[in-house]
Amino acid sequence: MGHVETVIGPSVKVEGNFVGEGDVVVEGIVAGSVRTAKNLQVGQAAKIQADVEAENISVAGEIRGNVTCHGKLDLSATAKIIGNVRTSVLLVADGAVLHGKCSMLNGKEPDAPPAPVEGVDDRPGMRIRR
Amino acid sequence: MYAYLYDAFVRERRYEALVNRIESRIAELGLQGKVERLTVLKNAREIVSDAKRKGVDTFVVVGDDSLVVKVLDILAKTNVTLGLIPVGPKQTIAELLGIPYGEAACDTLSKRIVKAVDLGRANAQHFLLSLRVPRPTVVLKSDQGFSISASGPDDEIAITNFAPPTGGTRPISSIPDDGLLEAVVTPGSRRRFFGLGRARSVVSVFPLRRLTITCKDECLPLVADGEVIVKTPVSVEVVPRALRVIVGRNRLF
Repeated sequence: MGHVETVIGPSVKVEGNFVGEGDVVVEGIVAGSVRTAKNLQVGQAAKIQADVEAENISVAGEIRGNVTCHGKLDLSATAKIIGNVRTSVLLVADGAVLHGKCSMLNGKEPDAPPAPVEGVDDRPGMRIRR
Repeated sequence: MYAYLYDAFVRERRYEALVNRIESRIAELGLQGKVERLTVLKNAREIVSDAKRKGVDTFVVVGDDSLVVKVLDILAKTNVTLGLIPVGPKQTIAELLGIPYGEAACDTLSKRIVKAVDLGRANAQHFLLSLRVPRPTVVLKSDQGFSISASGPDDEIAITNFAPPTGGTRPISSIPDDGLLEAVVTPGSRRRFFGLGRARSVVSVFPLRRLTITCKDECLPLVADGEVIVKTPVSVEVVPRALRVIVGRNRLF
C-alpha cells in the first residue's frame, strides 16, 4: 500500500474516536480520542483534548488527556500534557510541562518502597528521645 | 474485440486530419472494431451497454475527460477494459494514465498494459479523479466514528481518488490502486500575519474508505470529476479495483 499519512492541519477540527491509518500528524484541534499503530506527531499549534495512543509520539503542542505510548514519548520544550502518561521510553526537554502520573511500560512492576518503622525518624542528623 | 466511441466534437474540421491519422494507425496495428459516434439520438450509456451485450472486451473512447466520465459508471465492476485515445483540450485523465495525445495513443493501446484502478462512488455516481465540495460549510463523517470540519471560510475540500503528487515538504499522494480515498482540506487563506499565514498553509489529508458528507442548512451540489453533480447528503466510498484501464508507461502511479 505504501506510506499512509494523516495530516490534521490547523484549519481543521476532528471530533470523535479518530483511528489513523499509518502515521498521524496533528497541527489542528482534536476532541475525542486519537489512536494509531504507527507514529503520532503533535505540532506546536495543536490542541488535543483526547486520550492518545500510538507506537511513538513526539509532542510540541498541548494534550489534555491520557497518553499511552508503546515506544518512545518525546516531549519538546513547548510540549504540555495534562493527563496520565504510560510509555516505554520517555524523553523530556527543558521547559516541557507534564501534569499527571507517569508510569513506564517496561513490563516490570516497581519494588514497593519499605514501610516506615514506628518511632524512627530517619532524616539525617535526627535522634528521637524516648 | 474492440469497440470505439467518438465524441461528437471530434467531427469538427480542425480534428479531421488527426482522426484520419488515428484511424490509419488503428488499421496498421490490427486494432479495428465497431465504431460509434455520440449524437443527439445516441448517448454513451446506450452505446456502451450495447457493446457489452455483444461481447466487446475493450471499449476505447476517442475524445476528452468528459467522455471518459460518461462511460465510467457503465464500465465499473465489469470485465470490459477501458482504452483512451486523447483528442481535444481537456486531458487530465490521459496525462495521469500516461497516455500520449493523438495517434501515439494507438501504440499504447497495442502494448496493452492493463491496470485495475479504484473508483470512488458518491451515492450512485462513480468518479475516477475527485469529488469537489464548493463550500467548506460541510461536515465529513467517517465510518470509523469521527467527524471532520473546516474552520476557514475559503478552505477547499475535495475527496480524491487519483491526483498528481503535490510538492512541498509533505507531498500528498492520491494513487488509484491503494484501496483508499483521501479527504483533502486546503486552506484558502495564505495571508501572512505574524506568522499565522504560514501555519494555515498546511494541507490536511485523511485517508478514508467510507464517509458521508452533510451540509446543515442546504442541499449542496458536489462536482464529481468536474462534470457530474451530486447533491448532499452524499455517501462516499472507495470501490477497490473497479475499473480495468489501458495505461501508458509514463503513468503517475
